Amino acid sequence: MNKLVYLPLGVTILLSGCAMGPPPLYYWGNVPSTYHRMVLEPGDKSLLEHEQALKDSIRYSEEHGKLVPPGVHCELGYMQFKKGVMAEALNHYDAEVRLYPESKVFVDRLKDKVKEAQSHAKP
Amino acid sequence: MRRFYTLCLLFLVTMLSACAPPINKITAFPHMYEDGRPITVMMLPPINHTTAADAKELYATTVPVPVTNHGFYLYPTSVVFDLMKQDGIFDTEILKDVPPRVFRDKFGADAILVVEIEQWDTSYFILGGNVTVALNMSMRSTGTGEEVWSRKVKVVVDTSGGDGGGGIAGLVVKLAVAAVQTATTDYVPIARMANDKAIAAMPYGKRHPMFDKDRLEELM
Repeated sequence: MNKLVYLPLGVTILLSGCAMGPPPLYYWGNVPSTYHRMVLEPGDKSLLEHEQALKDSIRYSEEHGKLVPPGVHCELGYMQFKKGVMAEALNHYDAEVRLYPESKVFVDRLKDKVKEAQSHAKP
Repeated sequence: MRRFYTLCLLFLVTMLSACAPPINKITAFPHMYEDGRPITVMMLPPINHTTAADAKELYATTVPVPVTNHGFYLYPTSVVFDLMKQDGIFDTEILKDVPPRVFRDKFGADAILVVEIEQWDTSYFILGGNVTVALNMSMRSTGTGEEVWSRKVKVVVDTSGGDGGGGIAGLVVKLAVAAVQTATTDYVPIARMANDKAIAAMPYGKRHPMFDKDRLEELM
């Protein structure tokens, strides 16, 4: 009796898949979960997991011919900026503008902060 | 006599409006189909009308996926919040006095997304509980300052774990209830449902294949 329960349940799950529309524009993967975790439990561990999820979203998108979601390169760049890894921050910022030219003004503001940090660092 | 006619007219108008056809997207939100319609969107730190201190940041985690999948370029919310904190304008008391134009000039945002969290709580009754997330969402053009889209949404989930009936339906309800109950220390899954409901009523953004083709889509 118990095993028979799984058959209609399985069919329901399959059919509910058929009812869904076209696939979403972007592959966000675990990013919303890791972002959520970062807010609930701030710290190095959750930060690292979030960084990993953002990188996975980039890798998956590139492998599957999808555009990297808006803001992913931007956010990664900002995380590098906060760690002081400026060259990589700028690489991500440039990637964001390449993919999304509409982001230029926003990314310019973020690049300003890099320049500011670099000018303070000079002896 | 005059009063009688006024009442008749009022009655007629009320009856006719009940028969009105459902409204479609372009009728509800004409500015979203005009020149200058938003492409880039910046969500401001939400206005929190609840006692849940973490609601703003938790809510922010639920926004990027649905808004970007709807075709808009949404600025990364964690970065935006950080920038606001650094500029001393994260606190919405100060933020509400900042004219929308500032977000256009400084950050290049075509529109700001303003969200008011009206409810973010669990209420208990004798045989169980409800988890409620209620939001008031509004998109405002930074060019004209006008509101171009808005939606109020409320999702209430009954977590009383009551008898959902036997058989398959009962099994699925009990699984869903268990899943919600374990997540009720925060309201993020419910906030996601609320967003999905609200954003379903939003015209598609530039990057969506249905952009500009949803004018006659009816709103529930």
